[in-house]
Amino acid sequence: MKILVCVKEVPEVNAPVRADISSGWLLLEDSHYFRMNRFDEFAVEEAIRIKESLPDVTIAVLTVGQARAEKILRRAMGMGADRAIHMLQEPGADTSPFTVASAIAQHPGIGEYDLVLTGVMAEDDMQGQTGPMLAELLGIPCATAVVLVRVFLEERFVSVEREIERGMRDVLELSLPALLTVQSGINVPRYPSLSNMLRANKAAPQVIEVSSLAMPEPRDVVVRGVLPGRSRKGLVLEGTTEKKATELARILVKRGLI
Amino acid sequence: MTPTVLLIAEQSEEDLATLSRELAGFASELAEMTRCIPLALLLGQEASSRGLELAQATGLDVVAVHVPGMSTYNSEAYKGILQEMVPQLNASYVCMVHTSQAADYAPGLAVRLQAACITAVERLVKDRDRIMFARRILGGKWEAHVASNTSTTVLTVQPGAFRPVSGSGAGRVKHVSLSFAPRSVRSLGVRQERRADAHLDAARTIISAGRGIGKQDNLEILHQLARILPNSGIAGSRPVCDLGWLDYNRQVGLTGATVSPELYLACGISGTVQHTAGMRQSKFIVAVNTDPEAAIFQLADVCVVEDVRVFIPALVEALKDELKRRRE
Repeated sequence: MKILVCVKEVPEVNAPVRADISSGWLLLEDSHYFRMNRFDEFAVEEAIRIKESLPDVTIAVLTVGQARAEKILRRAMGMGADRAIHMLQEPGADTSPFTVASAIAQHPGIGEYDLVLTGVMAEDDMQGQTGPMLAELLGIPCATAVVLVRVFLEERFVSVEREIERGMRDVLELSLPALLTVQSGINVPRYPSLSNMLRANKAAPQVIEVSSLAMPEPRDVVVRGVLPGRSRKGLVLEGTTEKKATELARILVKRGLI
Repeated sequence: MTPTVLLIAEQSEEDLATLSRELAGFASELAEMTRCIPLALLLGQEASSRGLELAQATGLDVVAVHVPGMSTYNSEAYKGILQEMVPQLNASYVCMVHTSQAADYAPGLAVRLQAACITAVERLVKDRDRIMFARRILGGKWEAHVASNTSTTVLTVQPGAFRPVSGSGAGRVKHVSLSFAPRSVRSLGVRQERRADAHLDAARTIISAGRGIGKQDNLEILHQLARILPNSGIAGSRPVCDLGWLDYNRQVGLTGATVSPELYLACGISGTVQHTAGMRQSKFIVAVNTDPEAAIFQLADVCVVEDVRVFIPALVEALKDELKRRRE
């Protein structure tokens, strides 16, 4: 059985983000701030768990991104993926979900996989579209926000549960090959092991230049980024910790909350 | 035929009225900007009877597509049927509420329609003649204005972001019947995984934990605060539940609980749209976070730039002092 896991490099959103107001866009050039999308870590881990539970499973991990994104491919191999594919993009290239899905769909070996896994969304653009769009381009069934996976290889289907609203789960079976986007909490992603990292450092990823592919025109464009306005007053408390605590305590008492 | 803004309602019973009224609010605003006609569509085996309910809730004309045997959502059926219906109804825009269901089929439907797909839209922005869809990125810290380059555009709309339409008479219902047999996606129904939320809706104050609390043991600090604040409950963000620090029935946000207490105290929560969708209606919001740029501060009434692990114990002491002073 062959599994493909698609991973993305994202900026650390909890780090302060510098903004260039004149160009209306963000400055995130320091590679220190980039890491694997957390939702994709769950997808890598799920693939490894399937490999551990079934015979003859190989895992390829793929990213579409700049040269520095090689770091996350090595991390995925450190976790236990067998090989890596880097679909290399120039800095500034379009990274919208349709463009990325169209690039992955043109990867030469894409037809060989029984199962394609990816995270439910990327932490940076939060669209959640690349997985379902890729499934559509490949003409295979897709389920999103998956929290449980059972593979029935001989019968050629996968049984899954999707997380939906109000504590409910949507139960379904998909014919293989299929694509699943994995919701957080499905597992606890492992840390890369030293022996796997040493192996990863020796094995160069397969590199495919995205600019060499016949890419479609982007269907949507981010015109600008703006700092959102405040929807409430947002009184910022000042001073020492104790002074802030006293002020907040008075506000809560005044509002009759205690 | 005049181009339409086609809104797709959900089969789900509880949310039909509320969510489709919000969606109709969005669709009407967009239709006015683009000189389109808003129109609603509903799918499923109950569509015939529920079509009227939808027409009454939204005031819009409704196409009720009766699909025999389709009792629950099925992505293959939705994509297959809508791929056929959308061009027939001359839709320039296809929109739905950003639920787990819409997130599942909207991107694939867009590929089939050769349409752009823009998810979790919060605002419409018009700049000269260009219409842009505003959505949050980077954990909610920034807002991106996205434009479509295609003649058809698929949109999902963030719950709670648009004002619902108020009743102004029912639209007409047109009945259509279609059969569809999915081949590669077999729906086996839905099941209740966990009890509904842990009585969070009854709490007057909700103290909510984010990743910023650092470790599970630090929840004790929040419990100490809860013991002072009357009728309060502990909740958390999704990452905290994923880590197993809190049960999922205490998760606030999309696919978790939606709450609107007198006081919502967000402790170490960054404020992604997935979380804020579940608490933005709270009467009074206090946010504590070390990152002064955290998105949660955008919707807080009081902002405290502090480490919760240091600040909450200080707040507990300050509240005890206030109580003592009141007794004296």
